[in-house]
Amino acid sequence: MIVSKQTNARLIWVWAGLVVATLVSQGIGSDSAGMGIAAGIAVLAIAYAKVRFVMREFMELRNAPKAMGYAADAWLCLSMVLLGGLYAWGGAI
Amino acid sequence: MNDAKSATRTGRRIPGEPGIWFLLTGDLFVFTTFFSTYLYYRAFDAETYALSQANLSPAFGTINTIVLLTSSLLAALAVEAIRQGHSEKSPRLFAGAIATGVLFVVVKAFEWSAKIETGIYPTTNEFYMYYYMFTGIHLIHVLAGIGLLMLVFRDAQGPSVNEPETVRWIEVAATFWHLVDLLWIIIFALLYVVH
Repeated sequence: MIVSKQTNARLIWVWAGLVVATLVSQGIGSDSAGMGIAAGIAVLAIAYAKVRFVMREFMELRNAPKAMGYAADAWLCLSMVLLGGLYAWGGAI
Repeated sequence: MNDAKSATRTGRRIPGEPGIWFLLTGDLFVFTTFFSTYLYYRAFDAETYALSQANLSPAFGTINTIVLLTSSLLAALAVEAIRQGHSEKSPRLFAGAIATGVLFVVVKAFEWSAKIETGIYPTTNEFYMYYYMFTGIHLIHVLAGIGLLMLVFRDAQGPSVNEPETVRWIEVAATFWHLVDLLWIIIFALLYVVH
């Protein structure tokens, strides 16, 4: 029962954090018409941080074999670098 | 057998079934390719993309992000309720996850209708082609996910709800639903926020 309550509270806290992160990134996006590259990268980084929380907490990779967690983190890093790099490159040309 | 022994020893196990993780991995790589293609072509016509993006309604995107996050939370709590022996709570939580999923579809329908009414179609320009394509493919995932959640809602009320096979199937459906949430988080950032 205690474990259940702790797990439920943890899931609810994660959800609250994800909602706050959504509002923060939306705030960064609405700040100016012409977003700077750094702000754009920050929004992408927030999105990937949110995705990591969804994977670890809601999809339960936190309790999965470690290799699955490492594979997910590898995809997160590669994908973030790829999209962040293309976004920065697009802003520079 | 070895997996079971290993899981007991380490306390770690694959959520749901390995098959759902293969599907999920494939989906993630396909979407990463979509997103990369979008950002690549955006670089060659940044002005059109920026002007088109300004016509999107960030409020719709933000509302739908919070709606899907809430839906994911309810599905996670429903799985946890079954696992902790409170399976009677699970159908209500799954019903909430389904209702919020349907709400996402309704908000999306309003958003698309508003665009179509002002003459914005997938053929209007390259940005809108990506906008309708990404949100459309994602919407197919949402509808499939709602279908799975409805089956799970039925099974969560059945006599076999606490049997390991049923619990695994429920975990599979919930994992797919979280994938739907995860993909939307990146689509929201790319289409609605980053400009």
